[in-house]
Amino acid sequence: MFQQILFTQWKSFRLGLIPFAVAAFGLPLLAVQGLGPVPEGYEGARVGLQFLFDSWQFWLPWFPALAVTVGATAALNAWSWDHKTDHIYALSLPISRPRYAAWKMGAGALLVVVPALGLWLGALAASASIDVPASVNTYPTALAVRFFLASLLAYSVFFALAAGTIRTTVIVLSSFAGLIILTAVMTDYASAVVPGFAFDFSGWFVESLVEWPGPFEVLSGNWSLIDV
Amino acid sequence: MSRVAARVAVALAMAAGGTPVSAGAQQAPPTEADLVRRIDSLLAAVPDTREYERREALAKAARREEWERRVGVSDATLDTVRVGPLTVIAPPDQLDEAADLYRRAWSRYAASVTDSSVLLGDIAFGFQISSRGFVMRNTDTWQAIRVRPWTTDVERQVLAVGAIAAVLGRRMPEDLGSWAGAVPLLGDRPGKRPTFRWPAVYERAYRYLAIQPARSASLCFDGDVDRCVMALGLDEDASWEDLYTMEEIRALVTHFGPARSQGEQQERWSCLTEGDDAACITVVLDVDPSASIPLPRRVRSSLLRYALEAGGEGAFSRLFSGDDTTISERLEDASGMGVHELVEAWRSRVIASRPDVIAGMPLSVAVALAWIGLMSFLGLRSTRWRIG
Repeated sequence: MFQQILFTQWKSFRLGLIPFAVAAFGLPLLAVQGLGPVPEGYEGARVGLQFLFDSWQFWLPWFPALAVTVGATAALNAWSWDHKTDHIYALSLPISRPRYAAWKMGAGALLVVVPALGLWLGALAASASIDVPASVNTYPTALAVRFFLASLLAYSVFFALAAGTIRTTVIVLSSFAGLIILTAVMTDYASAVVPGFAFDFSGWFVESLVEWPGPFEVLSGNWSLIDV
Repeated sequence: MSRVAARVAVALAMAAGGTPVSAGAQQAPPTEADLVRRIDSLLAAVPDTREYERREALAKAARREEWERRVGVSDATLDTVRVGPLTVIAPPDQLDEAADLYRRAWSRYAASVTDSSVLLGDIAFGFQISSRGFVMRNTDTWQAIRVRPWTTDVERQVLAVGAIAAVLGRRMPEDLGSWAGAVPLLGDRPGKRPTFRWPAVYERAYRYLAIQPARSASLCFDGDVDRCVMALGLDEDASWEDLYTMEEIRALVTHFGPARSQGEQQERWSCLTEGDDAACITVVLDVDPSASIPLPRRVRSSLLRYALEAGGEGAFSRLFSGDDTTISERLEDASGMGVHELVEAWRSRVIASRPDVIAGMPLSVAVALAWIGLMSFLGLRSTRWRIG
């Protein structure tokens, strides 16, 4: 049964996976472009490296953005056929709903491995294509692990949203957006009205999300391929 | 528009739009007195600028008064308290907090600033908490901190230390300011994490030292203290050959943007294709003179901070004293160490501060997996299969 579910997801997602895998493979190579191997006795690599560190800020957002896109697309793809056919096929299967959803989830998660693998290979290739001084190291595996986790996190969030009804999804997303706006307004309003009030709701809320142990900490961590 | 500016504008208009005079019917050029008379006659049509300026000043004062009324604080209602040598100004209900904040901040500098009256001058330290607006602003005589009610205590401490550093920076000798950039923030960083205003100084210095594209910097990283001194710009006898290899200089030239003149283009051509070393150095000096000191200001600033911390009592006062003093001598005076000894100790400190890039990775992975597990559980629980 799992193989069949995996096969159906692969069939519907494979054309989408190819550009994701290519992008994941190419992104690290793009980020180090121009450095290249250095002839013996030539010290120019350090110059290039400095420029690389300076320009990394440009490439940095693309890695988590790609990871989230991969995860979200895989999750939405996992449920798309069920939504299109009003879950009739799934209801006709002789298995419980949780088991069906678990297999579906596992199959999608396996597909997310493909772009992560692409990124790992790309990061390895990028690391091998440049000469870095002894004071600097490359971290292709750490980057790939972070990418995989970020993809998986986005996948699980969107999978949970897509598994419910549209009504539930709308409620969850609206509540989330509303909470962000509400916390910002509350901070301003409460501090103006309530004497002695001094709590930054919105700052606290955003920090809780993106800093340890928040759910999106993996997105805001260190995404460097080359570091000391 | 001032009266003088108006006269100039009118004269320009006359010159541009004046009636053309044929070559055969040339008249004697007007004298200065003629021009002034003509301008004055035209200015009659221009509103009186002094009256305009007077009205503007009145309007500005009114706007300021209105603003103070809305904020609920005015210059007249501010209170003052002495914190050591600091004059602290704040709204009366915030004075205690301001005093406590500046007291803690000043404790970081108190020992190293022995002649505070000279170094701090007459500058008052302002503090205001508000969610509606601020009357505080930085001027020649004020250094103000303006915070929101929810600004954390850590951030307030950082701002207070920064305010003292900024005021000390006003007395910083020009050569030192040009070399180090600013007065460093002293003492341990409040809070657990680096902030934008208070980064992890030595960790950042490590990164720069590790990647800086100069032979002197890489040799410094490897432990050559003499090269550290050169790379920090503290050895006036260091030549370009001591700082960089010619390949590094050529690589720098390659990474510069487009040439700004034909002459510069020619120099670059000579440097990159004809192997003219002197042309390379000319280009670097022309485009990026700061390259003559390979390690950037952020690294130099960490050395300055180290010197001040090592120097202890009176370090600031010694650092700023003397007119014809080189930066090396200033650092020696401040730290009480020879420059080689100082740089060696600083280098050890920086090397010991190597950032551990993957230190937090296992914890990060564990937390991410926990959240993934939770989301997956929710995904398995939710259903559209409820029928009826």
